[in-house]
Amino acid sequence: MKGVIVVKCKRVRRKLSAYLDGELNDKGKEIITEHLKECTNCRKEFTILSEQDELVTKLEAIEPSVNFRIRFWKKVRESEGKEVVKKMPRLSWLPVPVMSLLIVIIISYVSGFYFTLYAKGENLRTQIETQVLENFIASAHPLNPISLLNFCNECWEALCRRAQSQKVSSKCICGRCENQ
Amino acid sequence: MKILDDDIELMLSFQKGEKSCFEKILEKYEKPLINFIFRTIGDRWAAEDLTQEVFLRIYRSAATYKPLAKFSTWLYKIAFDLCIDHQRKGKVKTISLNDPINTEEGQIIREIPDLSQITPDTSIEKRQISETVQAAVLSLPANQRLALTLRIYENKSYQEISKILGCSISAVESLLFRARQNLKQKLSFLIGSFSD
Repeated sequence: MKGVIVVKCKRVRRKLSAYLDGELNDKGKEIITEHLKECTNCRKEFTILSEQDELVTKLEAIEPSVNFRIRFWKKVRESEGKEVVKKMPRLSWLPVPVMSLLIVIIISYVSGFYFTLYAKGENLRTQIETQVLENFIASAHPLNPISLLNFCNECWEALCRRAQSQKVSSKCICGRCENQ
Repeated sequence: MKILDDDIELMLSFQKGEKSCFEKILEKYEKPLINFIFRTIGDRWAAEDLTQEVFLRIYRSAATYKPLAKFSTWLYKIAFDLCIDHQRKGKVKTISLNDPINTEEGQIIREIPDLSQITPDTSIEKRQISETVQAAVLSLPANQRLALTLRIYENKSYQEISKILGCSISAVESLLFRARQNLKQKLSFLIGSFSD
C-alpha cells in the first residue's frame, strides 16, 4: 500500500507544474486537488512551487532606455535608405573580371617580353632595360594601359631592329620596322 | 463578433498606411519584449538591440503581412529566433553560480549571502535577493529559461509557448517542470522567508 502511495505522489508531483499553470484537463485537476487535500508532502511541494513562482515574478522589470524609440526610427530610416541603394543596378561587379583579365594580359605580355629579352644577350638587355627605366620615369606609362601597350610595342620594335642589325634575324618580325 | 485581436487590427491598419498604429504596437510591446529578451540572454543593451531588430522585422514585413497566427505569438517567435541566433554566436550570459567574477583586479569569488539570517526589509537585501533570483534564472538551460519566461512573465498558454518554441505541448510541460525543479534546488533557502 505504501508503495502505491509513493508512486501516486511521484506522478502527482510531475503534474504539479502543469496544475499550477492551470493546464490540466478537468479530470486531471480533480485528481490532483483531491490528492493535495490528503497528502501533506505533495501539498508542501505545491506551496514551494507557488512561492517560487511568486519570487521569480517579483523580479523587477527593466524600463526601455530613454532614446530607445529614437534609435529604432533611425534604424528604420537607415534600412529604407539601404533598400533604395539595393534597387539600383548592381554594376560594381562588372569591372572586376575585366580588370583581372587586363592584368593577366599585361603580365603575360611583359613576362613574354622579358623572357625574349633575356634570351638575346646582355648588351641588348642593358639597352632595353635603360629604355624601360626611361619610360617608367616618363609620365603615366605604368598607369595608362594604352600607353603601356604602346611602350611594349616600342620595346618589341627596338628588339626586332637590334636583332636584324646583329644578324640574329634576317627579317622584321614585329611588323613595325618595315613601315618606317 | 470580433474575429481579429486588437494587435492584428493595428497591424492591418498600419499595412494600409496608418503609421500611428505601429506606434501603438511599439508602445504596447517594447517593455515586455525587452524584458523577455533580457531575462533570456542576460544583457540589457543587447536585449534592446534585439528588440529593435524584432520591431524592424515587423515594420518591414507590413506590406506582405497576413494574420495567420495571434500577433503576439508571431512577435515572440521572432524574438525567440533572434535569441537563439544570439546564443549560437556565443553571446548569451549563461552563468554558473559557482563561477568567479573576472575583474581588472582579479577574480572575485561569488558569495551568495546567507539570506536566511537576514530580514528582507532593507533595499540592499532586496536587491541581493533579486540578483540571486535573476542569476538562478539565467543559470537555467536556454529552452527552460525561455519557456519559464514566457509562462511566468508573459502569461502565455502551453499551446502558445509550443508555437513560439516550435515544440509539442508535452515538451513545454516537461521544460517547465524541469525548470521549476532546477530553480527549487537553487532557491529553496529563499522560499518561505520572503514570499510576503
